[in-house]
Amino acid sequence: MDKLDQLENRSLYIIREAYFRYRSISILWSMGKDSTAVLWLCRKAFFGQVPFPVLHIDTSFKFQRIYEFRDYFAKEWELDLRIARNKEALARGMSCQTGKRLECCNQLKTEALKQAIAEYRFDALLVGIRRDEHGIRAKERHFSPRDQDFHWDYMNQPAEPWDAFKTRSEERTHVRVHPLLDWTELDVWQYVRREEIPVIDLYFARFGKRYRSIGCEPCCSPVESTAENVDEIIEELLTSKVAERAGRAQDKEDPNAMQNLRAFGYL
Amino acid sequence: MTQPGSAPPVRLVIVGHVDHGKSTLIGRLLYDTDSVPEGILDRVREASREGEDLQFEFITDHLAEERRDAKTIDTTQVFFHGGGRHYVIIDTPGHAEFIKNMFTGASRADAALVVVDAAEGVRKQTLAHCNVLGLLGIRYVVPMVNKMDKVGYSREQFEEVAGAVEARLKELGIEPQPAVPLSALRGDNVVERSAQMPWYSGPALLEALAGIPDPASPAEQPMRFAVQGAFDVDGRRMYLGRVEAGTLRAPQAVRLMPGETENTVEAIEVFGGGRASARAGESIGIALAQPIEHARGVVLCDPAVPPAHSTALTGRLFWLSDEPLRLGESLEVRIVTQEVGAQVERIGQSFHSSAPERVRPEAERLAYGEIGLVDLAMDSPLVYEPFSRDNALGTFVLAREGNVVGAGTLPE
Repeated sequence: MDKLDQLENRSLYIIREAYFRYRSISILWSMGKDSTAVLWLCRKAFFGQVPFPVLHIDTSFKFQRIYEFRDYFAKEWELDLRIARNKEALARGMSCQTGKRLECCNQLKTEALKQAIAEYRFDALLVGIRRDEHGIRAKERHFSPRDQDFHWDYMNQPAEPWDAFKTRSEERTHVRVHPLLDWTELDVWQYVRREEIPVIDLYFARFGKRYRSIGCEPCCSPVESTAENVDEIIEELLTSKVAERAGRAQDKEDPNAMQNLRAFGYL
Repeated sequence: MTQPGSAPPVRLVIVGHVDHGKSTLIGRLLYDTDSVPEGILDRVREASREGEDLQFEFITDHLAEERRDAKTIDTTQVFFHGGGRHYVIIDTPGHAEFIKNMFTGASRADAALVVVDAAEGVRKQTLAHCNVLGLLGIRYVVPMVNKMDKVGYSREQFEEVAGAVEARLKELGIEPQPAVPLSALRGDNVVERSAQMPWYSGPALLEALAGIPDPASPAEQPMRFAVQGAFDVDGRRMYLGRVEAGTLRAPQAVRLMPGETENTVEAIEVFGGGRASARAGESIGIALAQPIEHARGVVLCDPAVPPAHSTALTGRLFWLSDEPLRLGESLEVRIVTQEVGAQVERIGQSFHSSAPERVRPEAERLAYGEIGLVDLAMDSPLVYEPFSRDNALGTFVLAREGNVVGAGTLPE
């Protein structure tokens, strides 16, 4: 087995463990390359079906291309798509221009997710985070509990020897399941190439810039790049030293911003 | 196509007593090989106090609590490329209270570096971590004598400390690799050999890593396939799971354990098509000639070399919970996808991992960080193998209400 085979096989094992051990699971799909790769792995794990709901946390500030991509593949792959918005905060006019950036992330992402979990009573969520994205995410477990208030108790994380995971969520809590935790950004792109996984064209360079990480339009800025297709992105990553989330505004507010966001339930 | 990234990475765990310099060593290794992303390096420079040396541990320690108290709390994994190979470097905490995290980090490692302070020598957590390496069966272990600058690059001091670590490892049945004297802070013998220690003719750390053998594949062992669950595809019942050892073929006669019924694997399926065979580590679906009930936890075996099965088990257990294990307690025992209820019949030969000389022949409890030889009486039979022969069926975990609280290996 080569590296991608090894990563894929272990991710399939993790996804199937989540499905067989938890009562009500879902996958968080942001339409970015990572969560689309997780969705692809779910389809492979269950022979082309995704036998659980697919959840999109919609801030309403995503790029138009993201919505088009979502609607096209939700139909193509016959997904049970659920769209969650914090309607109350949006009605108040919450945005990163009106509120503080971290407050906006908390309200439109974390709060919206809390509302969705309360509504659908999910006890496990498949999430496409990776250790190499951020030092805080490097500390994660494959099955990582969150309490009712979504707090991540990073000072007391579960033991996870070999492939023995936490297999039960206490009432009104859930686990975040991380099938891509051991993958790197380069692994994901090499897998996208090998599997011909569709990706949004925002990742490809136009006029000397491309998005390396995509989310809300006002808070993402493109990085300098000439990579116009998957091959060129892989080539670029083999030589680049720029951190992946360099274009993400919320990471820059203060050195511990990511930890603060995550402690309160952010991904 | 053999571009970097095609071979699986070597998983390397760094262990040792608190403040002996594990995180600093990793930071230095990444820094000197130009492997730190630019944005992260800037933040390390900002965070390091003015006029002081760069705080290399900031490259791996990311929790605010870790930076404030200058100690690693949870395990971190960093990806590193050097000498034509990929590595996953696992940094682990040195504090006794976080040994659960150290155990988690070390459990999947192919090799280990034991970092020891040249001035302080072997300390409590050095011992505890060596015991974990012994229990986990990690065979490739390199002692690293760090902070050589603090002892004037003394050869005598190096030999004394290296000798003490080597002796400890040998007691645990580990034949260590030659020790490396280094200074992570100053960069001596990390990436390049240092002029400060002309008496040392061995490799620098980076060169020593090249000696780690590629991860072994269990594909040559007797076939074991653990079922995760049943799933219907277009009206056809499939059993999903992973080949844990050996190679499964289709069609193949198999024995289903622990019930000992004979069956035939008619097809191996992955999304997109059928397969003639699948090797250890592959997650697949199979179709059986005779459908089965209660599929989860069934282990398919090569009928010519079946594993042992029993309702009684003795395991070498490492306890990972603040709430001690009690004699007579009922909990869940898991081996691959098998899970049954079990009762603790005996806690023998127990000791704290940092004080292996104080052995209690019998005990009523096993506390956090302690190791014991535990007899379990199960509600129904489990399939297992000695750890020396099978890394999957030879390991077990204990759980309370779905939470992993102990883990161990099965002796011969």
